[in-house]
Amino acid sequence: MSRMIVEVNHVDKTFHSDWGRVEALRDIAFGCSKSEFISILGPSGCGKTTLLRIIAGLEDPDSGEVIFQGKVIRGPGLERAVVFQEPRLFPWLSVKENISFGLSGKKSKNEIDKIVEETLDLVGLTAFLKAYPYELSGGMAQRVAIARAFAFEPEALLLDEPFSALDAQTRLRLQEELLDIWRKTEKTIILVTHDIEEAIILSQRIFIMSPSPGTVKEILDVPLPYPRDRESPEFIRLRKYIFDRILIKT
Amino acid sequence: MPVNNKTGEFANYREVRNNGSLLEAVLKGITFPLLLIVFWELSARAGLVNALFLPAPSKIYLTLLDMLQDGLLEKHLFASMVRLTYGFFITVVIAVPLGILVGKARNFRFWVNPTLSFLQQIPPIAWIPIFMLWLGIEEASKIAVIVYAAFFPVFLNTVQGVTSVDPKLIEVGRAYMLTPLQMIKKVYIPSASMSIFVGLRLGLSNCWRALVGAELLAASTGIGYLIIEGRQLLQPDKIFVAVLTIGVAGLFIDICLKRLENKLMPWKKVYQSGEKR
Ligand SMILES: Nc1ncnc2c1ncn2[C@@H]1O[C@H](COP(=O)(O)OP(=O)(O)OP(=O)(O)O)[C@@H](O)[C@H]1O
Ligand SMILES: [Mg+2]
Repeated sequence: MSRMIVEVNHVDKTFHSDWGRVEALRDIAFGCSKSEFISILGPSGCGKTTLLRIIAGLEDPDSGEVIFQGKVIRGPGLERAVVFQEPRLFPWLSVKENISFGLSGKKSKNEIDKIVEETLDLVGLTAFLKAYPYELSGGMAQRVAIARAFAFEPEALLLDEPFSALDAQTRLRLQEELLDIWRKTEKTIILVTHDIEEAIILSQRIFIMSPSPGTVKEILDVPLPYPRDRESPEFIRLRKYIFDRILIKT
Repeated sequence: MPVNNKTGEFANYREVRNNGSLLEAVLKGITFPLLLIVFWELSARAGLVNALFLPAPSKIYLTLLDMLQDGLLEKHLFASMVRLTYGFFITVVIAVPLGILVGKARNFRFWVNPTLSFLQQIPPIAWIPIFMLWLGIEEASKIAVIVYAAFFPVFLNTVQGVTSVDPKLIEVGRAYMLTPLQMIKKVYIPSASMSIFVGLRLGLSNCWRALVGAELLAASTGIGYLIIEGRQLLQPDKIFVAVLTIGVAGLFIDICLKRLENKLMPWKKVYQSGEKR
């Protein structure tokens, strides 16, 4: 188990509201090794975001724990960067300032400039360095949010449906970029998604979740070599298999 | 919503800007005063009003020129402005940090809010005699009144701004490991800045009112004093010059702040119309 960078040990989480309680996560347990790319796949409301937030340290589990690089997670950390489901940019900061948001005080000005330039190039928004968030489209804003996470240079990237607001072409391009970056930097990536194809194209393992209570129903290896072909018979077979698994209510 | 009884005025201003050119807005805005002045002048010329009570606009204008010529108006206006600057500066230095603190430490509000709500009910002018007793009749008591007058709008709007920071943005700050101080600087203050600015504008106009009030009661310089002098010397034209100066200076100050606001917060327009990201 020591090769594991993330270990999720029997995590439970229940939300209580005025109108009742929601068991968002029940007995979630898995590990993720260093430099691995995993997807958490499941229908809306099955607890994907909650799980990611617990790994990010933004939420505490009711019981169980998450261990990152051998240490129990007690809060957010420099080694983990989150891309939220919404862009969450700061309206009063330019694109550049938004991206360098987590860096000031930790890096020199020159380093920051270089990182901002690189990450903006990565998401294809170099021309918008000085723009403010209100001047960006929704998809562009999300790309800036992705750039912000990359700029942070974490060990692990926690992505919460980062591409779901994008148009098909941009999504494909960014998926490719993400793969590229992952293979270059060998970062650990945990991607939350409800897009089956996205999960198969990108990840080495897929965690299929089912709702109420949120549990990991199945862990699936994706043994296909990169870059993956959406037309290949294995791909199509896998897609059909997962599709059926998600539909079955057990 | 910021604690603000000026939003109505704000909204109108934006509306006008949207419906036509600035020139058109100015023309529309100036029509009524112009008509009034013409009417007033005509009735004065026709001898319909007693010049001792209501001097003609032309007379007031001549007095204004006179007072500008011998530097009287400048001198008193300057005296008022100096007080205003001191008072406002002190207010900002006290009220903004305090507002941030109270806004952030949510429990603190329960301790101070009742007291503040009570104090807020008392018009600044009512304190002038006491302040004079404590601080003497010199500058200190006037500045104290100004600080008192501006404190509440600035403080309350700062608190409001800080408490209504989008929790999702605070979370981004948390996820990206900001220190508490960075959090205040990079998330709370910018986010609250619009509300703070509303408070500053409101506070400044409160300052101006309170200052003139204080000068009316006890001063040997300042615009308020000019009014008293005009009354004592039975020079209503002088009074009118002073009163109009108060209005114009107030407007001028407000416009300057508005300009500053737009300059400091270029993203404001869109953010204000509710499009948050
Ligand atoms: N802060 C909260 N308070 C109360 N209930 C919550 C809270 N956050 C999430 N929940 C509940 O927990 C369940 C899981 O929510 P979560 O956001 O993790 O779903 P998700 O899998 O990310 O869904 P989606 O794909 O729509 O984003 C939902 O039923 C939701 O109502
Ligand atoms: Mg979610």
